[in-house]
Amino acid sequence: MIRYLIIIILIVGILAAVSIGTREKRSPADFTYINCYGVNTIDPAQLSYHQDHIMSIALWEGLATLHPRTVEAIEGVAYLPPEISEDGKRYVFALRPEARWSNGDPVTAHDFVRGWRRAIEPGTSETYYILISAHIGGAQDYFNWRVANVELLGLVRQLQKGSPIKTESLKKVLQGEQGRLLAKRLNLRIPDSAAATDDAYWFEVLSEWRRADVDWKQVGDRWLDEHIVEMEKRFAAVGFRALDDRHLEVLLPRPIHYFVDLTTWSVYLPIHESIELLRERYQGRPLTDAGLWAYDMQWTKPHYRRNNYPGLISNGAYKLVKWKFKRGMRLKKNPYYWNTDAVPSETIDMQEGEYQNTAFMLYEQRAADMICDLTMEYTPELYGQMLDGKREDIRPIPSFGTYFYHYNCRPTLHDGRPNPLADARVRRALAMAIDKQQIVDHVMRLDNPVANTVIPPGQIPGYLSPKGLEYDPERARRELAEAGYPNGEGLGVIELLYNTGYGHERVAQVVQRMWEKELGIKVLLVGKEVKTFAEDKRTGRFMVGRSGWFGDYMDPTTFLDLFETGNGNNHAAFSDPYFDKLLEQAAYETDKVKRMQILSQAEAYVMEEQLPILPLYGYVLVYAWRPNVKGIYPNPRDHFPLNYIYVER
Amino acid sequence: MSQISTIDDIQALPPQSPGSRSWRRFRQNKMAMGSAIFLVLLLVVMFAALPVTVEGYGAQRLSLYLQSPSWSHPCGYDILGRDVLQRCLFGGLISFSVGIGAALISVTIGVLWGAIAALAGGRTDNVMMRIVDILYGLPYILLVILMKVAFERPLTVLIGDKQIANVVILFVAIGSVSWLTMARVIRGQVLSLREMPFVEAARAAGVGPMRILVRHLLPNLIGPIVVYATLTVPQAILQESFLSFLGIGVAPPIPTWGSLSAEGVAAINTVVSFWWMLLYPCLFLGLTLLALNFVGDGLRDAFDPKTTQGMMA
Repeated sequence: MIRYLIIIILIVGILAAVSIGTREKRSPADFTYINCYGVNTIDPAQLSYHQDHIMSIALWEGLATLHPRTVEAIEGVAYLPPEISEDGKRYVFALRPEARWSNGDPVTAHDFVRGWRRAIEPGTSETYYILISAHIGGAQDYFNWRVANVELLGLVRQLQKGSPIKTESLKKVLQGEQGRLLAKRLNLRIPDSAAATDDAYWFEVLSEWRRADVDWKQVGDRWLDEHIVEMEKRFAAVGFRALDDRHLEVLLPRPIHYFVDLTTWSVYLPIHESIELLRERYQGRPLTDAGLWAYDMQWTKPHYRRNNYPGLISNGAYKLVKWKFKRGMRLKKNPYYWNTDAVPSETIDMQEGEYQNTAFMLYEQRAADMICDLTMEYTPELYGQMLDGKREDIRPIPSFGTYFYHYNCRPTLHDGRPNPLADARVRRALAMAIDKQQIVDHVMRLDNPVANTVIPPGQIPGYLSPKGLEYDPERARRELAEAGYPNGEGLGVIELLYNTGYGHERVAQVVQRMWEKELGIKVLLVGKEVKTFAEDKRTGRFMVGRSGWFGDYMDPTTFLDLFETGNGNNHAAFSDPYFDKLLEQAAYETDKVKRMQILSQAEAYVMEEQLPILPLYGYVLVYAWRPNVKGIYPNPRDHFPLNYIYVER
Repeated sequence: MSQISTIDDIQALPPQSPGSRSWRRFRQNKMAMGSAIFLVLLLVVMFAALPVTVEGYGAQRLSLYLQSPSWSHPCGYDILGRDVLQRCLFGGLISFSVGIGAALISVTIGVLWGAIAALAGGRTDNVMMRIVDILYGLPYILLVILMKVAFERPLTVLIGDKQIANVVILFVAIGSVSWLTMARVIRGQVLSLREMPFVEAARAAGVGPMRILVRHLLPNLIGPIVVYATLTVPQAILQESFLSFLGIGVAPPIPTWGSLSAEGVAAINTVVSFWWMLLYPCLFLGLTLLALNFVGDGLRDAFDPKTTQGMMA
């Protein structure tokens, strides 16, 4: 009997100890919000998701920031306006002397150079490097040159280790200028461009390189050393430099009237010098053995201490105190922030709510003050309750983004069949057969605006949107017949690719039905999980594919660049010399009004004649926050800087 | 008494054949009989409605989205304004064809595999049954997905229509992973039957193994085969539902009971619930599964010689 008692007491004791041990002593933050998508990274050079961006601009502050209500550029670390030269191509930003890092160091122009450079160095750069490379003089050339060298060094290191090499990568390197230089130096065969298409030929070249009596380590190290010297010379030609601690000079290839707006983006944030403690160095060199500019990935962690690293230091309104993977983050006010008196909340919690239904229930139980981007099945019902006046915390935000379908514009499909969508008449016919108002009214039910153009109309000041193609089944049938497919005969099956979930099936089924009914086309729905979907989109394995785009800055080019030949997001593989010429013409047009006219003409051309995409509707995001949450203003760019938000209790 | 020798069989049919005896026993089982009638009725209704539902399952009247049930449309409308009743009736046929197709495949493979293993004996038997053990150990979802990947292209090319191919792939995949139990049961049965005098007699008379299997063993195995086939149908329907629920089943807009239930679950929440979207598909699915299981149980009792006394009393 006593033995049982002891066992029971022991069990109870263990349970009690465990429950006490795991209980978190944590006071609720001044403001708590739930993000339905997890934060992927807060590295300003690498992030590309909205939730990551919001977090990074709370932690860092750039030259300018966006006002939460007007979404116009206001002063950040720099005084505005900057000093701009006559021709509009040289900007000098004066930094405020009182700007401080979260450890008290002053924010200098060198910190900006460090941050911007990371964005265009292979190793730390990611998709958004384009915001720098496309707008700052010499940046793209520098980036390309660096990438070519990194590819070459990668190849040399693979030869050194004897690891498997794809003929593709050899081909790429040896067809470049750098590769030819190396071949000449080593007395190896320089590939003959006439035979360059033959795979067997490249295989032979590769085995010749493998057999060569060369000390690859020595070759690689020597190349790297020369590259490092050359790199600094070339970097000096990139259009941003610190004139002194407090002045940053930027040289643009052409006048860009929205440049200050651009500098509010994450890639333009400064980085504290302590990051250099975590630099990956190859035997004391500033680069890795493959020529990459790399840092220990843990540098964004608040309590990382390797190599005397002090943990993440930032210069924004907040500093990062805690980051629990897949759970959330806690931010605390940065006492050194120059404008800290204007920051209302002492602490902010961000929780990740992977399961929206659960997350919304948490919000309903007041465990959070706000929840972002609701995409539950019943979001339209919540919206309906708001319209009926039953709920005041549901906030629809018509956004600077468009939901559309990509048409594959390649002449043949991935499996070699001829692509009927290569004909613009078919693309137009498909677009005009869709009654978008029906989709908006009965499927979305969030009062989304119908989109006939890719750029949401009326949002960019000074820009006049073209009309685009409206619902016109008569003309659609006519165009389809003209293209050689009367009543859809001979067209075959059109495959519509989408990622499953978030209601994409629903829109796809309605579109399928409308095409079948209006045009007699057979449509097959192909729903895929998001990663495979993205891969298929990127590699062109689709006919019609779901897509969407949110504008990054207040200029038409943030959308129109999507259709430029060779753009990384041009999944349609649309390529039209006339359109490219219009974009280039606009880029070098100094007169603002004329420039907008050219861009409007370009949009009319793609949205009324060529249609690389089929625009469906404008995004309306639905957020929920209770009336006692202040300092947040619904705006089309979905911009809610955390340093203005507070809760009245 | 339960054993009937082949010579008896050939020379003079006994007044009551095992088949008719089983049928009588099945008829006396009220639950099984009622279930069978229900299933037949359901199938008749689904086939009779086919001319309407084949058009109606996808017909969208967007303005009628989420209309609650009324007398003219007793199951209401779904989120795209499609009649839920029509979708349930059409989806039922898809679910049934997946179930029956999968059962046929699984029975064919299972019977052949089990019988061959038992007849061959020795090392062959050992190897074949270890393969079954290994397949048992693998998660069936993984196998189904692999099957889908493997068969998708050839079958689509063969059939020509992607949507029909999709359904065929699904039952081929489910069928080819659910024959394992069947194989074990049949092997056990054959092992015991193999030692029976009538088989020995046949062997002594110089009958080859294939002929023994077809002429002498299969007729005696018909009981367990029918029972397991009946029980495989609901299992396959359930697996199809599960796969559709996960999104790797039949592609929309073709409904199955599984995908309809999945849509229904999504329509249930704390704000506004559209119960009819969940209730009706689940009702159809649940009742059918129940009925199929009752029929399967009834058949097992009917074919089981040991229950003879119980039924007589």
